Amino acid sequence: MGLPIINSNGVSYFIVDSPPLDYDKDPFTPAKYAVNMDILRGLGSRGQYSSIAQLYGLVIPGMILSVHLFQGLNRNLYDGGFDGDSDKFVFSRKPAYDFYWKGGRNGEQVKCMAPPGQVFVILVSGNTKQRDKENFSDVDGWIDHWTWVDQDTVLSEAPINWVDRYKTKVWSREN
Amino acid sequence: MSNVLNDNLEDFIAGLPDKSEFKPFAYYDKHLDCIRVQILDCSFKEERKNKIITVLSANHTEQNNFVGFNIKGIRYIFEEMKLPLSGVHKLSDLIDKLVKVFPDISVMQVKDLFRPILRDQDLSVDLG
Repeated sequence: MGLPIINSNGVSYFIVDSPPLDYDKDPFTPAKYAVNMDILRGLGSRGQYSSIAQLYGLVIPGMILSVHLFQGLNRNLYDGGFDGDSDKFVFSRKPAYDFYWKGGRNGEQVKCMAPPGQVFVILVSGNTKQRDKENFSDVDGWIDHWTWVDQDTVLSEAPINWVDRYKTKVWSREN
Repeated sequence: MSNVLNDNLEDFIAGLPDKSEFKPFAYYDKHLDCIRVQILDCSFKEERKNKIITVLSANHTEQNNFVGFNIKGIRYIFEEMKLPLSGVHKLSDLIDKLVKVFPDISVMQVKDLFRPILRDQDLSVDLG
């Protein structure tokens, strides 16, 4: 049975579980992050099947396994103001496998060993805007993007140079 | 639209519109305020070069295969370059301007690596 698609206030989305933002206070209540169907339609229309394969193989089943959470992208990001980067969060972990798509639209999914020395990150926006809080009180935020990046040389399962790359580390945990 | 996400990836992709085969693209990601350029559908690594440029390299290949790049902080960059944040912008022109306003080694690298394909593919980005 697939994930339910929720239609609310003119937006279609489905929900992915993740560790909570305040994991240190309450580690047992998962956070709910939404994938706007517009993002999935965009990936589909551009033929980004490998990104869709990673959504199915790594984001949906694996976000809950994230080991670190960082906040703030330390770059210019306009999202209603030039400090929009502060409202972005990054979940990271080092999965055992990667997924991609081979052979165009009539091709097939490939499951393979994760690229060595890399970690998988999921970028989300917090549900901080008043409109979002009121209209989408069932979600904690929105999944914007996912990708592989090099692993930090010191902190296992974290993106390389995370100290300079992000404003702060919110939490880390054992997986 | 179905009220559940198809739990089979192959079925989901088979159900996409006919025109959705991959071809090199550029688009503005409004959520992360960046232009994403990709020339191959594959698993890739994003390598942050600086606050403006991220380069994409294909995974699961022996070669150092660059498959795209991101230009980040578009609103700020366009203000600095005195460009309107609307309409269609040709990517090769955009890269040329970027090199002039932000003469950085990473920007130069993107220009050297990708300008031929941007010109050949005539890639543009539509900012609406």
